[in-house]
Amino acid sequence: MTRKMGYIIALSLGVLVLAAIFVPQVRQFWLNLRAEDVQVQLPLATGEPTLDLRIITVLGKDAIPAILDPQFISAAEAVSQMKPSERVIGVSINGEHRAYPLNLLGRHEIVNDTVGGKPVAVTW
Amino acid sequence: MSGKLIMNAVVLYDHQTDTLWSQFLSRGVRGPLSGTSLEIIPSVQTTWEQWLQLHPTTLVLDKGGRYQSDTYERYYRDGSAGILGEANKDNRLPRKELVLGVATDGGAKAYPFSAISQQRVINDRFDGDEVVVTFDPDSETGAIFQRALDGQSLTFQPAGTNELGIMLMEDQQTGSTWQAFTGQAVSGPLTGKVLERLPSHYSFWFAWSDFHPDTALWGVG
Repeated sequence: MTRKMGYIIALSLGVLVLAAIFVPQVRQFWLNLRAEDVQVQLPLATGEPTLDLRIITVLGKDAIPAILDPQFISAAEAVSQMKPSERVIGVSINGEHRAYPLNLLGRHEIVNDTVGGKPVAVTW
Repeated sequence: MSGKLIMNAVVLYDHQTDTLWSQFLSRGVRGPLSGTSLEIIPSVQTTWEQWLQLHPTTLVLDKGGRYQSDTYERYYRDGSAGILGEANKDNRLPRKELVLGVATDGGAKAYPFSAISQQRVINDRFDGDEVVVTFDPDSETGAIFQRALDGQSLTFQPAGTNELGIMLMEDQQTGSTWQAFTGQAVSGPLTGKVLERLPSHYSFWFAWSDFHPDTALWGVG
């Protein structure tokens, strides 16, 4: 292979990689290559007995790590780290109230917790 | 998290059976528990300030001094439909319009923020039930409740806010005052009663119409 051919190939690959990352249509084409189609039996709002779904793999398992052992603090303890306007998901179960900040949920996507004796998964 | 998506919404896995679960549908989609549905617990998305005023004894997940910004700030504002694009284009609303959505086995309905911001308390019907939708545009807090209580159907109207800024509503039948997001009556003949809450969640319109192509839509057209 000549050096010029090598440069052309390297440049072409570089352009393809950038396109896959930054051009939505290319990215979606690439992701759809790593897709799996499943059929789910369910009563869905549309009234259809089965639903065809396409599962796309984007990241590895646990690339975004779940929170398995969440630690909670009181509002008084949280004053220094919670802004009044920042958004939370709030849950009330059996008289127990908990808030899950979206800034944190955005980076972990799921918290496994037990609230009011009930095991819950808070997802974002 | 499995690292997988279905129509831009995350796919979870469980440690016990390795079943994959669609978050948006709250249902198993592949593996031993495929088809099983997860019980949705009603929750509220709101500001920390509002939540604390509603529930002064609340605990909050410890951020350890970190997570001071929202990683999706730019995404909320841009025009893109997730990273996969829309599966089913529905032009009744712009794709990134936010809606309060409710779905049961009997149907799906979306209440656009732009439409419910004006009225704030909306008496409506959904899936054969009489419901009330409440929305505070300042804190972007919204909920949906059953209007039926002890055999009678209540009709609600806005009743301002209390001294802590918590949105209130009043029923026309008894004149009782209710907290709009807990569904609890705080004064009047029905004090202490709590309306039954339907599970609802916020969604961008493109995602809601992808998962619920035949969804009803309030206040548009």
